[in-house]
Amino acid sequence: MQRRQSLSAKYIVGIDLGTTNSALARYDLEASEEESRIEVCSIPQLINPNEVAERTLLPSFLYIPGELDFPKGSISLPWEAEPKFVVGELARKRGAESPNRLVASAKSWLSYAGVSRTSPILPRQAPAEVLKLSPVEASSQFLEHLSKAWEGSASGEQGEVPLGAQDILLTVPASFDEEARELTRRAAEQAGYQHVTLLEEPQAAFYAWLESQGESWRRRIHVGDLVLVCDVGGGTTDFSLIMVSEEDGDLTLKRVAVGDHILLGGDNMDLALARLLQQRLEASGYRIDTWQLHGLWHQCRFAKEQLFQSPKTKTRPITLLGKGSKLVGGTIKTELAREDLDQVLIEGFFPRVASNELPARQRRVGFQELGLPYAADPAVTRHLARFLSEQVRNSPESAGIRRFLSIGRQAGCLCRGVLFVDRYQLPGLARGRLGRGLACPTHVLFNGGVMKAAVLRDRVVEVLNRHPAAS
Amino acid sequence: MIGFWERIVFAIRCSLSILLRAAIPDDIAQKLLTPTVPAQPAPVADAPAVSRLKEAEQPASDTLDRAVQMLALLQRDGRLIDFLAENISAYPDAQLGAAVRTIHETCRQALDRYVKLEPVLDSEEDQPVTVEAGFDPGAIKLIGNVSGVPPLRGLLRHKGWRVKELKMPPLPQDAGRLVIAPAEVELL
Repeated sequence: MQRRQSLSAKYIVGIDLGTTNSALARYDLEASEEESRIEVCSIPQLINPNEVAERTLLPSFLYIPGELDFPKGSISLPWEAEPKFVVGELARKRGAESPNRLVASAKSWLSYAGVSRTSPILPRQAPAEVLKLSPVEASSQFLEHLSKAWEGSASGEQGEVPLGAQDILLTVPASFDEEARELTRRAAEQAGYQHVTLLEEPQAAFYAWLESQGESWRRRIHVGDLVLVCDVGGGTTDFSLIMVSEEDGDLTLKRVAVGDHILLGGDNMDLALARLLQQRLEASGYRIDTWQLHGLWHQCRFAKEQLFQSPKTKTRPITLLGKGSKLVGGTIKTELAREDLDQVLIEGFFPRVASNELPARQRRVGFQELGLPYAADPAVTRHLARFLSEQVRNSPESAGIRRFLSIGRQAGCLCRGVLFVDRYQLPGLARGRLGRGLACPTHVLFNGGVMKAAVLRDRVVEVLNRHPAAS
Repeated sequence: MIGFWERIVFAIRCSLSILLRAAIPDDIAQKLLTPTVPAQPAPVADAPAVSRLKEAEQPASDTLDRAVQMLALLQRDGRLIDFLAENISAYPDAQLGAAVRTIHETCRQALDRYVKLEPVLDSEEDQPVTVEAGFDPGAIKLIGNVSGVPPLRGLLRHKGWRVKELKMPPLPQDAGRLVIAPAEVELL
């Protein structure tokens, strides 16, 4: 990984260009040892017409406004009076009301080889008069927004050296192929970024964990350890294996395996819960239209998080307010029960599977796909099993893994604690039991919003621990 | 028109006065704050009544817009106006309660986002409290056996509310300022 050093850079900036949300953090190169720390920056964006506010996340949504969308002058930004696009929270809100002009998941399109990624294809369902964007251009717009926000930021210092001249670390999924990486670099160049280094997300997660541990990481990670990075976010699931090794006395992380970029994530899970409740309500005689399903989706997400956080709670109420002026009159009351979570989420998305199970096959269609290749099988654990069994078969480093397995069998480790890294928070660590014919990690590093739930982490570790017994 | 040298004198007097007394000298205030009357065409007979109305309205229009804006924010984020406008007498408590819980949550979030409130007297209610001399009768209301000379001892019945900070977004640019919630039309 070659780092380009910018001579004028005052900061090292890390940018996570996520599928659903993007974020930016910086490290002051000129701060003293005691004060220097990593700071997550707030990003100003339109959150409502006429309202610009700062948020730590920039939703990765882009809306192409037409004449009919917003009152004149209500989408102006501090740095641009009449922008061509709306980026961020307002784009997401407006996109929910008017989906045909919304560009979402540009990052997933960037990795999809089944379309021409440099042609203006987004949004897919846009009306004829809309000037479409390519996935590269969309990604570039997000980076440009970050750049303009940086320039206008309060601190005079920051304003002096633009973001484009700082040292930028841009994260990409490990599963991105060479073309997707090249397109990401191109998007950064188009946004005026001169010194960009791509960093793979699982490694970034690992570095975040190391940083959080201070000096105590040495007690938990040793040379020869094999770490499974399990990243389940809002829209995507990525697995990778990182080997911990040593080079000239320094700890090095080497990514030895990566799985496919699976389009399956927290949004699918929340939607599955919403659909369950929708069916129940319709069976009771209510009519649930698209807008109410959307509301149900959001409420299910909150209710789910609350249930995960308080294990003693059995149900959470869900209220859908009536549309129009019949607010109370049209109110529909229902609830999300813990059994629903168990049945839909845990058994549906994280079932106990044997190590040799394979996910349901992706639909192979003769004609051109209209959309992204969403996962056919919702079971994350099955995708994980396939990933682990493929590595031993295909990976050139598998010799290393098998050798490591034999060392491990002698050591006989058992699963203990659990490691979790949310990019803005901090982790724990787990050891998997070792076995044969299957890549067996010693540790699991969890990343992504979905893995915040302890129950799901426990389930993944349980499945990993059972693998050897099953095979 | 105030002459150049006069302005210099005013400026020096004002800054000294503000530093020492936290006030602007009265004669300067009078001279500067009374609007100068530019040359005007002879007004028509009923024009004075109209212009007086306009003068009264103009300073208030920003207040009007802000009042509308506050309602608009609570409606957009919390649907408060829809709730208040509905006839809820026929609905059973359970349905009403469920709706109110949601509206309470969303309105509270909206209020928190735009207004920072603080109690006037930050003490426990129904507990003894002292009202000091020189208190602001607009901020503290006395009830019960209203007599005596401060400092007064009594029981706090309501903490009161005061705005600590207002963070309102900018007003919309055009005549849409009277709109609390736009009508929604779905195109098929």
